[in-house]
Order: sequence, then structure tokens, then C-alpha cells
Amino acid sequence: MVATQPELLHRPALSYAYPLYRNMLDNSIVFIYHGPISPDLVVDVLNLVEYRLGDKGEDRRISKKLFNIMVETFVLGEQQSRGHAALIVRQLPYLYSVSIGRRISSPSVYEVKAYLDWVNTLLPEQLREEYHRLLQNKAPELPQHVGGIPSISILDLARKSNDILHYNFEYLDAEDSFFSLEARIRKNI
Amino acid sequence: MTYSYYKNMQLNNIIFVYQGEVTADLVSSILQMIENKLEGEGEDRKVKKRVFNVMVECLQNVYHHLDALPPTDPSNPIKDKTALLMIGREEKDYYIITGNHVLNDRIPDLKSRLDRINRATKEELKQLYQEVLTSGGFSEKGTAGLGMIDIARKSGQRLGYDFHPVNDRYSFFSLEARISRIVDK
Amino acid sequence: MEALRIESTHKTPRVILDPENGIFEFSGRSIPEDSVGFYLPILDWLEKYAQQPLPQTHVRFDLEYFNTSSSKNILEVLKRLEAIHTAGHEVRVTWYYDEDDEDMEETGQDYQALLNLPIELAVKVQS
Repeated sequence: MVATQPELLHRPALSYAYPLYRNMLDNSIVFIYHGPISPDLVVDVLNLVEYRLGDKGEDRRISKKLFNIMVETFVLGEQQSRGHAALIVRQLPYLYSVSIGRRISSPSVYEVKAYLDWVNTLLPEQLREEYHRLLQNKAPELPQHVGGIPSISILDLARKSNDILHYNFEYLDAEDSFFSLEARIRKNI
Repeated sequence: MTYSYYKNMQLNNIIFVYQGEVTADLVSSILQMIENKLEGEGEDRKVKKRVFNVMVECLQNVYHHLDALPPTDPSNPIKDKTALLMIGREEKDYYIITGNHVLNDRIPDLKSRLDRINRATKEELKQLYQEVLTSGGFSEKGTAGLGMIDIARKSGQRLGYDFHPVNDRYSFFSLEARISRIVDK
Repeated sequence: MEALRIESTHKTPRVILDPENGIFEFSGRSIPEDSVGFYLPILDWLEKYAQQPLPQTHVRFDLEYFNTSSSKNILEVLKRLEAIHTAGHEVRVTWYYDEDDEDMEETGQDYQALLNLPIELAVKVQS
């Protein structure tokens, strides 16, 4: 039943529309942005999310958290020298999730992964302590950046999210890997 | 998961895609975001305006289609009246794709309208627009038809469409409008 | 000494540093492209003010949201104020937060813990 007009055959995005829609629906994805990330975009995306939440009558405590987390995920997306970033916002009945994906250098993957694993073991009070140390630059042994990513951003996301940080690395080539970080906000806690 | 979306977004030159309910506030915030983005990236003013105008019309059109769906229908695959909105940028064109469910029995009519629009010359489109506008153009179907003619006129290119069968009552209707990035002198 | 006034944008806060009445204000969002560049003139101004401060300075922070690169700069602002306070001049800081914004409240607590400066946390009255 696919419409076949000879002059329309070469419209790949059109035939991708339904599979993408279905996929987004099944994964509760509200939107995906793909491109460079700038502070201007932050404001517009937050507006969009605000309207969406407003329509859904979301609890203000949860929406504030979502906003604060999104603001920080953008910092991770901005800090990249090459290529585009991807931002994905998911909305499920019991949680929100914000994912940021970007390139990092392949040799730094191990370091970033180790840092995230370590952050995920920290208790809230430990997270706060580490955050304070980084904020004050009082921790020479603590790196300000891991794999080009500000470590304070990772700590900040870990503190604001009420779940562990979820992550994934996709090896592209010897130079670049794709790094995605997901912060979740679980409701009703 | 993020990576596979990223890859597909890159492959299809997609800038932004939204799935969900479509409300007036949401539409205006999406328009605002895209407008600022094109502005910030130094897109030609004329092209920017055309993209904006076509987007406004495409979103209007989705509204009309969603309104035409029966409010509570157990065979409706989706509970809410959700739609898809996608914006992409290729080397020569921007494209805007909207997607929404339609009842299968509306497909022949939609197809014949779209084919008629796509066969028409610029001048014929103008006539068709006036024709639909004057001949009972305020009925539900009429306005939807008018919207598509308007999109075609503003886009300046043929409309792309696709009907993907969902179940025996519904299909997913995707409509694509293209806007050239080449500025005519 | 001239007052420093910066109007807010959708990315940067409104800043008012008025040496006549000793009332300072930071309000709005802080997600600038270049947060060091944005806060530098503010820090410079505070350095000068610290040389001859009023006996009483009241600073009001009423921020909607900000990112970590701003939070470092805000800490620097607070450190300048701490120096004035340590030198024996009264400095009162009020940190406003929306009662639904746990993270903003927590940030206020962070600064309380990190500085030797009276910082009062206050729930913002809904407008």
C-alpha cells in the first residue's frame, strides 16, 4: 500500500517516518534533536518541554528536576570539538530520561567509563563531598576533565538524578567513539 | 540506543523529530526553536521564512487530520491523538514530514487529492486553491484539502506521501514538503 | 564608584550592584556561552567595592536555573563577598529558591557549607 509515484521514489526520509514514529512510541521518546548544541537551543528546548509538561499537568517538583538535569546535559553536548550531538528525551509513566550522545576520543573511553563506574558507586553524601572538592578546585588528584568532559558535570548529573547514570560507548574508529549518557528522574520518590 | 538514533538521524539528515500530542503551545515552541536555529546558523532570510511558513501550514494540516479521527475507538492503535513531526536538512532542500493516523476509508480521497495537487502546475494550483476555497471549502474535508494545496504552493515542489497500513481500520499517513535552499535571484 | 547594571537575557541573569545603597541582585538564568567572560567584570567590580564597602551589604540571589560552569563563577562571587564579611563588614546573602526546586535549595546549602558567610535560604514567593 506504499504510494509509488515515480518522481517520489528517492525520498528515503519519508519511508523512514513510520518506522521512526513506531520506534519512538514504543520507547516513549518525546523528541530527538540532532545537531550542534548551543545555549540558545537550551532555552528553546526547555520551552518546548515546559509546554509538553504543562499539557500533561506534571508535578512541579519533577519538572524542576527535569529542567535542571537538561540544563546540565547540554553542557556535555556543548563541550565537543567535532561532529554533532544527539539529545533524546523520554517520558514514561514512572520516569523521565534525558540522554546526550556525542563523540569522544577512543583512547579516552576507558578513563571515562572508569570515572562513571566510580561515580555510580558513590552515596549521596559522597557525591556532595566530591562535588564540593571539584567546585573549589581543592582536589589536585581529581581530574577537572575526563576524556574532554568536565567531571563536575558528571557529578552534578549524578547528584540531580535519583538513579545511577546509564551510559554506553560505541566504537567508531581509532580516533572517535560515540558516548551516550542518560540521566533518569524516577517519579514518586 | 542513543547511538542508533544518532546514526539514523545523521543518515536521513534529520535535525529534529517529535512524537506525541500536538497542542498550540507546543507547536509554537517547536516553530520558535527551528526559527532560532536557522537564524543562529545564518540561513538565508528568504529560505528561513519559507521553511517557517510551510511548517506552520503542515502543523495546521496535522491538526485537521487528528480532529477527523473518532474520539474513542477501540481499534485506534494509539490512545491519544499523537502525531509525528520531523524536520531535516539536506544539501539542497529542507524537508518537513508530518505523520498521523487516518481511517483507511479516507485514503482513496486523500490520494486523489494529493495526486491532483502534484500534477498541477503553479497556475493550476492557484486556481485549485480558489476553487476549493469557494466551493464549500469550510467543511472538514475541504479545509484539510485546502491545507495541502497551500503547503504545495508554499513548498514549490511536489508533495511526498506514504500510507503505512496499521490495522484494518487505520493507516499511518506521512506527508513530506520540501523547501529549496537555493535562493532564486 | 559607579553601579554595575546588566540586564537579563534569556541566557544570562540580571545583575545589579549598587554601591549607593549596598543592595546587590542576581536574578534569572545563568547559562552563558562564556561564563568566565560574563562573570569577570562582576568579579572585578566586587574587588573594587571590597576596598571601600558600605557597613552593610545585602545580596539577593534569585536564580531560575544555571549550569555547573556558572556555579563555579557564582562561588567566586560569593568568595569576594566572604572576603568583605571577613574584613568585618556586614554582608547578608539571601538565596531564594522555588519550593519545588530541590536542586536549587541544595545548591544554596552547598554554598552555605563551603563559605564562611551568612547565607539565608528563602522560599521564593510565587508571583
